Amino acid sequence: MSDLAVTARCWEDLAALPLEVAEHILEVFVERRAEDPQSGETMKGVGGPLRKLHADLSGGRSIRAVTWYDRRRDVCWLLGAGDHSVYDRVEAMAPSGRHLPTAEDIANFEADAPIRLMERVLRAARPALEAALAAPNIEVPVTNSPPPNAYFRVDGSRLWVRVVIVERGYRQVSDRQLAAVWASVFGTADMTLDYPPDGGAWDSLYMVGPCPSPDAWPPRKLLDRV
Amino acid sequence: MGTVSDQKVQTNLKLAPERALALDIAAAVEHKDKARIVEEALALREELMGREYAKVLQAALALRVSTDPSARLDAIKALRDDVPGATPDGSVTVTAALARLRARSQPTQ
Repeated sequence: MSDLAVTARCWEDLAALPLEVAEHILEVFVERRAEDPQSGETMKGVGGPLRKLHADLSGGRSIRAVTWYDRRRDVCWLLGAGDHSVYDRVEAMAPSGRHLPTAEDIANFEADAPIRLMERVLRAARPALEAALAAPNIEVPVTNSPPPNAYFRVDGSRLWVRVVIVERGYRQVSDRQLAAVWASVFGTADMTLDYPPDGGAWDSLYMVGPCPSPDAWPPRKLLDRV
Repeated sequence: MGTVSDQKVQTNLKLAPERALALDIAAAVEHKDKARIVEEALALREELMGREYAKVLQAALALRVSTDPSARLDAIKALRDDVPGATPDGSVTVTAALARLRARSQPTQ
Protein backbone atom coordinates (compact mmCIF):
# COMPACT_ATOMS: atom_id res chain seq x y z
CA MET A 1 0.00 0.00 0.00
CA SER A 2 1.49 3.33 -1.08
CA ASP A 3 1.25 6.76 0.46
CA LEU A 4 -0.76 9.44 -1.32
CA ALA A 5 -0.07 13.17 -1.59
CA VAL A 6 -1.37 16.29 -3.32
CA THR A 7 1.03 18.92 -4.65
CA ALA A 8 0.47 22.55 -3.65
CA ARG A 9 -0.07 23.37 -7.32
CA CYS A 10 -2.76 20.69 -7.62
CA TRP A 11 -4.40 22.04 -4.49
CA GLU A 12 -5.06 25.24 -6.49
CA ASP A 13 -6.83 23.12 -9.12
CA LEU A 14 -8.99 21.48 -6.45
CA ALA A 15 -9.80 24.77 -4.74
CA ALA A 16 -11.08 26.16 -8.04
CA LEU A 17 -13.59 23.30 -8.42
CA PRO A 18 -16.99 22.92 -6.74
CA LEU A 19 -16.60 21.17 -3.37
CA GLU A 20 -18.40 17.98 -4.42
CA VAL A 21 -16.22 17.64 -7.51
CA ALA A 22 -12.97 18.19 -5.61
CA GLU A 23 -14.03 15.72 -2.90
CA HIS A 24 -14.97 13.17 -5.51
CA ILE A 25 -11.59 13.44 -7.20
CA LEU A 26 -9.81 12.85 -3.88
CA GLU A 27 -12.07 9.90 -3.11
CA VAL A 28 -11.36 8.27 -6.47
CA PHE A 29 -7.65 9.03 -6.07
CA VAL A 30 -7.60 7.13 -2.76
CA GLU A 31 -9.68 4.24 -4.09
CA ARG A 32 -7.65 3.67 -7.22
CA ARG A 33 -4.09 4.65 -6.33
CA ALA A 34 -3.60 3.51 -2.72
CA GLU A 35 -3.65 -0.14 -3.75
CA ASP A 36 -1.96 0.30 -7.11
CA PRO A 37 -0.15 3.61 -7.58
CA GLN A 38 0.83 2.62 -11.10
CA SER A 39 -2.66 1.89 -12.38
CA GLY A 40 -4.36 4.02 -15.03
CA GLU A 41 -3.70 4.88 -18.63
CA THR A 42 -0.34 6.54 -19.30
CA MET A 43 -0.21 10.00 -20.84
CA LYS A 44 1.58 9.95 -24.15
CA GLY A 45 4.28 12.45 -24.99
CA VAL A 46 5.31 13.19 -21.39
CA GLY A 47 7.72 11.29 -19.18
CA GLY A 48 7.15 10.08 -15.66
CA PRO A 49 5.14 8.10 -16.56
CA LEU A 50 2.15 10.28 -15.75
CA ARG A 51 -1.17 8.51 -15.46
CA LYS A 52 -4.71 9.59 -16.19
CA LEU A 53 -7.36 9.33 -13.49
CA HIS A 54 -10.98 9.24 -14.68
CA ALA A 55 -13.42 10.41 -12.04
CA ASP A 56 -16.61 11.12 -13.95
CA LEU A 57 -19.65 12.27 -12.04
CA SER A 58 -23.29 11.60 -12.77
CA GLY A 59 -24.99 13.79 -15.34
CA GLY A 60 -22.23 13.36 -17.90
CA ARG A 61 -19.77 15.52 -15.99
CA SER A 62 -16.35 14.55 -17.23
CA ILE A 63 -13.76 14.83 -14.46
CA ARG A 64 -10.09 14.09 -14.99
CA ALA A 65 -6.86 14.17 -12.99
CA VAL A 66 -3.20 13.29 -13.46
CA THR A 67 -1.05 11.26 -11.06
CA TRP A 68 2.61 10.34 -10.79
CA TYR A 69 4.16 7.54 -8.76
CA ASP A 70 7.35 8.57 -6.98
CA ARG A 71 8.90 5.14 -6.63
CA ARG A 72 11.78 6.25 -4.41
CA ARG A 73 9.47 7.62 -1.73
CA ASP A 74 6.67 5.11 -2.49
CA VAL A 75 4.09 7.86 -2.85
CA CYS A 76 1.56 8.57 -5.56
CA TRP A 77 1.16 12.31 -6.18
CA LEU A 78 -1.95 14.02 -7.47
CA LEU A 79 -0.51 16.58 -9.89
CA GLY A 80 -3.53 18.18 -11.52
CA ALA A 81 -7.31 17.98 -11.55
CA GLY A 82 -10.27 19.39 -13.45
CA ASP A 83 -11.92 18.59 -16.76
CA HIS A 84 -10.25 17.22 -19.91
CA SER A 85 -8.13 20.38 -20.19
CA VAL A 86 -6.03 19.21 -17.24
CA TYR A 87 -4.07 16.97 -19.61
CA ASP A 88 -3.11 19.94 -21.81
CA ARG A 89 -2.14 22.02 -18.79
CA VAL A 90 0.06 19.30 -17.36
CA GLU A 91 1.61 18.64 -20.76
CA ALA A 92 2.41 22.35 -21.14
CA MET A 93 4.19 22.40 -17.76
CA ALA A 94 6.09 19.18 -18.35
CA PRO A 95 9.10 20.60 -20.25
CA SER A 96 9.99 22.83 -17.29
CA GLY A 97 9.10 20.19 -14.67
CA ARG A 98 6.61 22.55 -13.01
CA HIS A 99 4.00 19.79 -12.95
CA LEU A 100 6.07 17.71 -10.49
CA PRO A 101 6.31 18.12 -6.69
CA THR A 102 8.51 21.05 -5.66
CA ALA A 103 11.21 20.94 -2.98
CA GLU A 104 8.66 22.51 -0.62
CA ASP A 105 6.14 19.77 -1.45
CA ILE A 106 8.78 17.15 -0.64
CA ALA A 107 9.65 18.84 2.68
CA ASN A 108 5.96 19.03 3.54
CA PHE A 109 5.56 15.37 2.60
CA GLU A 110 8.35 14.43 5.01
CA ALA A 111 6.78 16.53 7.77
CA ASP A 112 3.50 14.68 7.22
CA ALA A 113 4.92 11.30 8.30
CA PRO A 114 2.56 10.87 11.33
CA ILE A 115 -0.54 11.82 9.33
CA ARG A 116 0.45 9.55 6.46
CA LEU A 117 0.91 6.71 8.93
CA MET A 118 -2.57 7.37 10.28
CA GLU A 119 -3.97 7.28 6.75
CA ARG A 120 -2.20 4.00 5.98
CA VAL A 121 -3.35 2.35 9.19
CA LEU A 122 -6.94 3.42 8.58
CA ARG A 123 -6.92 2.16 5.02
CA ALA A 124 -5.52 -1.22 6.08
CA ALA A 125 -7.23 -1.58 9.46
CA ARG A 126 -10.42 -3.30 8.45
CA PRO A 127 -8.95 -6.05 6.24
CA ALA A 128 -6.18 -6.58 8.81
CA LEU A 129 -8.71 -6.92 11.62
CA GLU A 130 -10.75 -9.39 9.59
CA ALA A 131 -7.62 -11.45 8.91
CA ALA A 132 -6.61 -11.30 12.58
CA LEU A 133 -10.08 -12.41 13.69
CA ALA A 134 -9.89 -15.34 11.28
CA ALA A 135 -6.53 -16.42 12.74
CA PRO A 136 -6.51 -15.70 16.48
CA ASN A 137 -3.13 -15.28 18.17
CA ILE A 138 -1.39 -14.83 14.83
CA GLU A 139 0.13 -11.44 14.03
CA VAL A 140 -1.24 -9.78 10.91
CA PRO A 141 0.63 -6.85 9.36
CA VAL A 142 -1.23 -3.55 9.21
CA THR A 143 1.46 -1.38 7.72
CA ASN A 144 5.10 -2.00 6.90
CA SER A 145 6.26 0.49 4.31
CA PRO A 146 7.52 3.02 5.08
CA PRO A 147 8.39 2.15 8.71
CA PRO A 148 7.24 1.66 11.36
CA ASN A 149 5.88 -1.86 11.10
CA ALA A 150 2.64 -2.47 12.95
CA TYR A 151 0.73 -5.70 13.54
CA PHE A 152 -2.67 -6.77 14.85
CA ARG A 153 -3.20 -9.86 16.97
CA VAL A 154 -6.56 -10.96 18.34
CA ASP A 155 -6.46 -12.59 21.75
CA GLY A 156 -9.97 -13.51 22.89
CA SER A 157 -11.87 -10.27 23.24
CA ARG A 158 -8.72 -8.14 23.08
CA LEU A 159 -6.83 -6.64 20.20
CA TRP A 160 -3.07 -6.32 20.54
CA VAL A 161 -1.27 -3.81 18.36
CA ARG A 162 2.49 -4.22 18.16
CA VAL A 163 4.52 -1.31 16.84
CA VAL A 164 8.19 -1.96 16.11
CA ILE A 165 10.17 0.94 17.54
CA VAL A 166 13.73 -0.18 16.76
CA GLU A 167 14.82 -2.02 13.65
CA ARG A 168 18.32 -2.82 12.45
CA GLY A 169 19.74 -0.45 15.00
CA TYR A 170 17.59 2.53 14.09
CA ARG A 171 14.67 4.18 15.80
CA GLN A 172 11.64 3.71 13.53
CA VAL A 173 8.88 5.61 15.26
CA SER A 174 8.31 9.04 16.78
CA ASP A 175 5.92 9.89 19.60
CA ARG A 176 3.67 11.53 17.01
CA GLN A 177 3.57 8.36 14.92
CA LEU A 178 2.81 6.28 17.98
CA ALA A 179 -0.08 8.60 18.84
CA ALA A 180 -1.29 8.29 15.24
CA VAL A 181 -1.42 4.48 15.47
CA TRP A 182 -3.10 4.62 18.87
CA ALA A 183 -5.81 7.06 17.74
CA SER A 184 -6.33 5.28 14.40
CA VAL A 185 -6.99 1.89 15.93
CA PHE A 186 -8.61 2.58 19.27
CA GLY A 187 -9.98 6.10 18.88
CA THR A 188 -11.48 7.08 22.21
CA ALA A 189 -11.93 3.48 23.38
CA ASP A 190 -10.04 2.27 26.43
CA MET A 191 -6.53 1.18 25.62
CA THR A 192 -3.48 0.41 27.69
CA LEU A 193 0.17 -0.23 27.09
CA ASP A 194 1.02 -3.71 28.22
CA TYR A 195 3.25 -6.65 27.50
CA PRO A 196 2.06 -10.05 26.33
CA PRO A 197 2.40 -12.85 28.89
CA ASP A 198 5.46 -14.21 27.06
CA GLY A 199 7.20 -10.85 27.43
CA GLY A 200 6.88 -9.90 23.81
CA ALA A 201 9.50 -8.51 21.48
CA TRP A 202 12.21 -6.30 22.94
CA ASP A 203 12.07 -3.96 19.96
CA SER A 204 8.35 -3.20 20.14
CA LEU A 205 5.65 -1.36 22.02
CA TYR A 206 2.35 -3.12 22.63
CA MET A 207 -1.07 -1.49 22.86
CA VAL A 208 -4.05 -3.56 23.90
CA GLY A 209 -7.73 -2.71 23.97
CA PRO A 210 -11.15 -4.13 23.27
CA CYS A 211 -11.31 -5.97 19.98
CA PRO A 212 -13.76 -4.11 17.77
CA SER A 213 -16.36 -5.84 15.66
CA PRO A 214 -15.57 -5.26 11.98
CA ASP A 215 -19.25 -4.47 11.46
CA ALA A 216 -19.20 -1.65 13.98
CA TRP A 217 -15.67 -0.53 13.26
CA PRO A 218 -15.39 0.79 9.81
CA PRO A 219 -12.35 3.04 9.73
CA ARG A 220 -12.96 5.11 6.68
CA LYS A 221 -10.53 4.96 3.80
CA LEU A 222 -10.70 8.72 3.78
CA LEU A 223 -9.79 10.06 7.18
CA ASP A 224 -11.91 13.15 6.57
CA ARG A 225 -15.00 11.33 5.32
CA VAL A 226 -17.61 12.17 7.94
CA MET B 1 9.96 -3.25 50.00
CA GLY B 2 13.05 -4.29 48.16
CA THR B 3 14.86 -2.08 45.72
CA VAL B 4 15.38 -3.05 42.12
CA SER B 5 18.87 -4.22 42.91
CA ASP B 6 17.49 -6.52 45.65
CA GLN B 7 15.00 -8.16 43.33
CA LYS B 8 15.69 -11.09 41.11
CA VAL B 9 15.64 -9.98 37.53
CA GLN B 10 15.65 -12.02 34.40
CA THR B 11 18.83 -11.44 32.46
CA ASN B 12 18.73 -14.38 30.08
CA LEU B 13 16.23 -13.06 27.56
CA LYS B 14 14.26 -15.73 25.79
CA LEU B 15 13.70 -14.24 22.40
CA ALA B 16 11.75 -15.65 19.48
CA PRO B 17 14.16 -16.81 16.75
CA GLU B 18 13.30 -13.96 14.37
CA ARG B 19 13.74 -11.41 17.18
CA ALA B 20 17.05 -12.94 18.17
CA LEU B 21 18.16 -12.65 14.55
CA ALA B 22 17.04 -9.01 14.42
CA LEU B 23 19.02 -8.32 17.58
CA ASP B 24 22.07 -10.01 16.09
CA ILE B 25 21.77 -7.82 13.00
CA ALA B 26 21.34 -4.66 15.08
CA ALA B 27 24.41 -5.56 17.14
CA ALA B 28 26.43 -6.13 13.98
CA VAL B 29 25.24 -2.91 12.32
CA GLU B 30 25.88 -0.76 15.37
CA HIS B 31 28.92 -2.63 16.71
CA LYS B 32 27.31 -2.71 20.12
CA ASP B 33 26.69 -5.31 22.76
CA LYS B 34 23.24 -6.88 22.43
CA ALA B 35 22.33 -6.05 26.02
CA ARG B 36 23.16 -2.40 25.36
CA ILE B 37 20.80 -2.36 22.37
CA VAL B 38 17.99 -3.86 24.44
CA GLU B 39 18.61 -1.24 27.14
CA GLU B 40 18.39 1.51 24.55
CA ALA B 41 15.14 0.09 23.20
CA LEU B 42 13.66 0.08 26.70
CA ALA B 43 14.79 3.68 27.24
CA LEU B 44 13.16 4.61 23.95
CA ARG B 45 9.88 3.10 25.11
CA GLU B 46 9.93 5.40 28.14
CA GLU B 47 10.88 8.41 26.05
CA LEU B 48 8.10 7.80 23.56
CA MET B 49 5.54 7.81 26.31
CA GLY B 50 6.88 10.93 27.99
CA ARG B 51 5.21 14.20 29.00
CA GLU B 52 4.81 15.56 25.48
CA TYR B 53 2.99 12.44 24.47
CA ALA B 54 -0.34 13.48 26.02
CA LYS B 55 -0.42 16.56 23.80
CA VAL B 56 0.22 14.73 20.56
CA LEU B 57 -2.27 12.03 21.50
CA GLN B 58 -4.94 14.71 21.95
CA ALA B 59 -4.13 16.02 18.48
CA ALA B 60 -4.27 12.51 16.99
CA LEU B 61 -7.63 11.86 18.61
CA ALA B 62 -8.98 15.20 17.39
CA LEU B 63 -7.93 14.29 13.87
CA ARG B 64 -9.49 10.85 14.20
CA VAL B 65 -12.87 11.85 15.61
CA SER B 66 -13.53 15.56 15.06
CA THR B 67 -15.96 16.62 12.34
CA ASP B 68 -14.92 20.28 12.50
CA PRO B 69 -12.57 21.05 9.57
CA SER B 70 -10.82 23.84 11.49
CA ALA B 71 -10.15 21.54 14.45
CA ARG B 72 -8.86 18.93 12.05
CA LEU B 73 -6.48 21.41 10.43
CA ASP B 74 -5.19 22.45 13.88
CA ALA B 75 -4.67 18.78 14.75
CA ILE B 76 -2.76 18.17 11.52
CA LYS B 77 -0.50 21.13 12.30
CA ALA B 78 0.19 19.79 15.80
CA LEU B 79 0.94 16.28 14.57
CA ARG B 80 3.41 17.15 11.82
CA ASP B 81 7.15 16.64 12.27
CA ASP B 82 9.64 19.50 12.18
CA VAL B 83 11.34 19.29 8.81
CA PRO B 84 13.53 22.03 7.30
CA GLY B 85 11.78 23.64 4.33
CA ALA B 86 8.30 22.49 5.37
CA THR B 87 5.63 25.16 5.78
CA PRO B 88 3.31 25.26 8.82
CA ASP B 89 0.07 24.93 6.83
CA GLY B 90 1.61 23.03 3.98
CA SER B 91 0.49 19.45 4.62
CA VAL B 92 0.24 17.60 1.30
CA THR B 93 -1.89 14.75 2.67
CA VAL B 94 -5.30 13.91 1.27
CA THR B 95 -6.65 14.39 4.79
CA ALA B 96 -5.43 17.99 4.86
CA ALA B 97 -6.70 18.70 1.35
CA LEU B 98 -10.18 17.52 2.33
CA ALA B 99 -10.16 19.49 5.59
CA ARG B 100 -9.08 22.65 3.75
CA LEU B 101 -11.77 22.22 1.12
CA ARG B 102 -14.41 21.80 3.82
CA ALA B 103 -13.09 24.72 5.88
CA ARG B 104 -13.36 26.98 2.83
CA SER B 105 -16.93 25.94 2.19
CA GLN B 106 -18.08 26.65 5.75
CA PRO B 107 -20.09 29.84 6.12
CA THR B 108 -18.15 32.52 8.01
CA GLN B 109 -19.64 33.72 11.30
